[in-house]
Amino acid sequence: MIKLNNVSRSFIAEHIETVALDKLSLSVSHGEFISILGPSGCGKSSLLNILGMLDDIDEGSFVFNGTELSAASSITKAQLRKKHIGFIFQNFNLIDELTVEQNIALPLHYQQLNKAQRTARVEEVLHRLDIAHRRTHLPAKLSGGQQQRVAIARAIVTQPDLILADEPTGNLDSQNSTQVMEILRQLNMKGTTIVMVTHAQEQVQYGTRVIRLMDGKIQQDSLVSAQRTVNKQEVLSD
Amino acid sequence: MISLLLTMTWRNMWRSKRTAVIQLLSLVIGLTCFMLIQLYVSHQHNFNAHFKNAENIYRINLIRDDNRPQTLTPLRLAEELTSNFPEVTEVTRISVSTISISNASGVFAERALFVDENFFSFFDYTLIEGDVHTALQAPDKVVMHEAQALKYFSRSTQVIGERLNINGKPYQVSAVIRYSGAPSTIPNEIILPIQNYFQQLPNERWQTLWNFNATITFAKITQATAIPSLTANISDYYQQRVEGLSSYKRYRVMFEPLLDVYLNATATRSLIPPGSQEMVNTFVLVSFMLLTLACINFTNLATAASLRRAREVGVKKALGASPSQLALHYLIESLFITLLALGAALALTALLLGAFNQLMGAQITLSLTFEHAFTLILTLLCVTLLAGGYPALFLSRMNAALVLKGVVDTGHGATLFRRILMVIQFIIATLLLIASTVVSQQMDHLSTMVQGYDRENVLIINRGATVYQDFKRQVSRYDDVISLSMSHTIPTKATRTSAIVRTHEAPGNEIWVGNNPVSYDYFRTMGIALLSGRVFTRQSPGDPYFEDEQNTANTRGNLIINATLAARLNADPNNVIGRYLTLGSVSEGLHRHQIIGVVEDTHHVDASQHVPPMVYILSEKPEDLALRWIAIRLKAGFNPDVLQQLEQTWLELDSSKAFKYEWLASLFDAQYHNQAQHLQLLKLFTLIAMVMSVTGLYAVASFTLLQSLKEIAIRQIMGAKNWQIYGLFQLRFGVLVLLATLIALPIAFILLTDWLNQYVYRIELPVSVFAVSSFACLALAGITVQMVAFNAVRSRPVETLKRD
Repeated sequence: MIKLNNVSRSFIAEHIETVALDKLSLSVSHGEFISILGPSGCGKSSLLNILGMLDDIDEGSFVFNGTELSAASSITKAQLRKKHIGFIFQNFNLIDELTVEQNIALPLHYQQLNKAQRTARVEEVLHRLDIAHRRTHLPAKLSGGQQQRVAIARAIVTQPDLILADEPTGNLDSQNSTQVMEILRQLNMKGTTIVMVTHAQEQVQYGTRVIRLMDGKIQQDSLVSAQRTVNKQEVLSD
Repeated sequence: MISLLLTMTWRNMWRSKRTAVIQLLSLVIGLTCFMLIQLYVSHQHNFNAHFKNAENIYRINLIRDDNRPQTLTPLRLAEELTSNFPEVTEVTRISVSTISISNASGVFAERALFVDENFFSFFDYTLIEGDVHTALQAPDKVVMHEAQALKYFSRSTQVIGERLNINGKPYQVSAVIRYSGAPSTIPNEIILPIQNYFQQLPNERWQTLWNFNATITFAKITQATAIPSLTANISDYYQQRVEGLSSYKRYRVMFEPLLDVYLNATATRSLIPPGSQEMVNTFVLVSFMLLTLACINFTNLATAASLRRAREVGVKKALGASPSQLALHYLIESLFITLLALGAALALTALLLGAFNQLMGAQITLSLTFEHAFTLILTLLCVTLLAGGYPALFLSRMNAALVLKGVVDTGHGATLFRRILMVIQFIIATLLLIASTVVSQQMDHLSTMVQGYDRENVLIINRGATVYQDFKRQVSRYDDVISLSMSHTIPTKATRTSAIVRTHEAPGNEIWVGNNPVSYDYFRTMGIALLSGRVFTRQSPGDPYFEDEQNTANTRGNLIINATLAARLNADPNNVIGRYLTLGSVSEGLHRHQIIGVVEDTHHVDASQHVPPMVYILSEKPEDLALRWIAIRLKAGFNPDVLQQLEQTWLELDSSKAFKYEWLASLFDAQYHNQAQHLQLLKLFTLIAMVMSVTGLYAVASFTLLQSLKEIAIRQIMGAKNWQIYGLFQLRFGVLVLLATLIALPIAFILLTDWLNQYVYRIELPVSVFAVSSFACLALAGITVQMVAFNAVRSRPVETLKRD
């Protein structure tokens, strides 16, 4: 599904260059649930942003579903993004001015679905995530757990192939965290590929694969189910 | 999607009320001013446009030598044109005079238009009753406007056939014209057949004189291409007939399109005071300036607020919105806000139109024509693009990955752009402030400069030669009456006749002079100071001007001249007394007159023109030299009852003639009425511009403060004193305002020097105004920034850092 080859990304601020990703290579296959771990500043979010086509790479190659994106236009990326990818953020990133159902329906507007289709899809996810009773509320009126469920609903309403989750439970208590992780696991079991950045070691068990990053490079890439650790060269040689 | 966008926009505005209010109010005020000015401009451009044949109608002006064109033409010109120039399809004339209408409740003075029978085929009006084809067929018919019908009959219908006594003769109402607010240079006066005007002339022969200009001639010409050749041919024809009849040497005519006579007016003695193209252009410029200020406030606030909107941009991009889609969405948002502002501005315009009309002395109505709708839509789109274009581009270009991390790169580009916009705002504000102050000072100068006469407590009555002598004898006895006189012209009215004087020593040196025949006591009544010699007295039999038509050389009478003429004669006022000047023309005969006095210069027309050299001659009886204006000087602090006594005495002498007077001071003010009106408007717009600029600065400074809170907190922790923080802020914005001032000053200098040059009597461009205005702008900006900085200093640094 995704193939990154020798991807680098650095940021220049105040004349100081910070390397976020350093010749990083990675493959993601359909149906995987990858947890990305690592200390702050190791490049986790940068990697996620590149996978989500929100950021450009400086060098290397990025192939998504067979399309090379290293020189793709912002329009192509926007097209791919809205068709294939759903985002879940640590701080939910709901639009404060829109109600729960309007927030969820927003990506469907970009897909230019008609009203009936939009309503059907929104209804479905509202019930699936048990937030139908909050549909007319503004985000500010919801608890953190509810807000994240709305964010997940918004991410899955387009039925994406890939969900990118950036510390989805970072702002939640343990009960809500568990609920969110269960939801993600169920989505994965139904076939959605998930790439999740997390700080919490215990959440690794929900996924199928763990990647540890350090200084913009993959330090460890292991499969969870087999409890087997392989180094990144082995993964690449698959 | 649109409804979703509107919901977001609305809730966004609701959440940041202060920003939204400033953005909206700026736009509402900017758009309201813009619309009011555009309505005014459209009104000014539409004079006479409602007349069906307006495009083919021309006013014929006369140009004598290098003088300004004048509207008054010989009465016979119309007939000559139709008989000799086939390109002229039809001609009509309008002469103006004051009439007295008497009924049971009194005698009223009215201005009347004396017109040809075909008047209505040139100027079509909607009649309440009557028939345009027959309304002016008989000499005793009178056509009135709705207001006059209401005044004299208390109704505007079933008035046909009613009788009115005008100037002592019975007339019958033949038509009533429905009121129309359409701007027209034909005033809504009572209309009488022109034969009645002829009867007022001292001599029937005047109708056929080539050098008696008493009527405004309009011609219909269907072929505009024929105008240049027609102008040349008619000018030659006219020159051949009038040459030698007066002191002018070159006579031309010009055709002025009816649609231009109001704004492009160059001619003197028009039926209504002309408009000013220059002022209209100035206001168009000001309206665009105000709209620009509003757009800048919008743009600046929107980009500054991007700090808060950034996350939303990131989310939308993550959800699949492309940059162009986002830009379009933010433009739609701006469109929505502009539409809201436009709606509010429309309502405000409708609300303020009455007051605006009063201020401008106009009768503008708000009507939705296709043209208006088109302008509105165009304004909406332009303002949307101008105000919302940059913010839309700025927001849609944000890096989603960064903004989702909470990093908003406002960028040097955006900051610089905002600063440039702020500088533009203050350039506009400073320019307007300097301009309105200089214009105000110049207007003040004109009204306070020495005019050469005392305009206080002087009553002016038009005409009345027949009763003047008796009237004077009777009212001179009143305690409150100091003196009265009659003259051919008075200060505030143009010097109507001119002459050539020559000196005995240099007969070839012709000096053009204004000529004002006056009665005894003229200088005393007008408060014109005598510089040397004496004024006309009854004890001096040589004073009255006597014209010997049989032998022109025998024409006699003493002269009083003004200081300018004395200077032209290279003589000190004291040395010129007793010298002789030659009047008359070589063809008709020359005659010599002795100078007995020199008086100070008086301004007859506004200060855009030099005081001409003048001679005053004595008309012993008012009828001798066609004296037209009676002036009565009253004592300062006179008893108002004297006015009633004067009226009573007047009516006792001639009950058919209304006692209608004006104050000389009012006539003087009326000369500057338009300028005074425009100045009021300019002051108002300057105030609005200042408020808008300062509000914009306040908002931008507030946002900058938000971004700088952390910096300020750290500085405070490091030991920065409050004044150092204030200084930091003041410097940041003070430099921008100073820059704006430095740019505005030379622009203002060039524009205002050019503007002042149109006045012969003008102030020196005051350096103090430039300094004070610059200081005012800097101070105002300083106070605004200080208010913002005060909040920054008050916040506790630890709290700020904790929040961050």
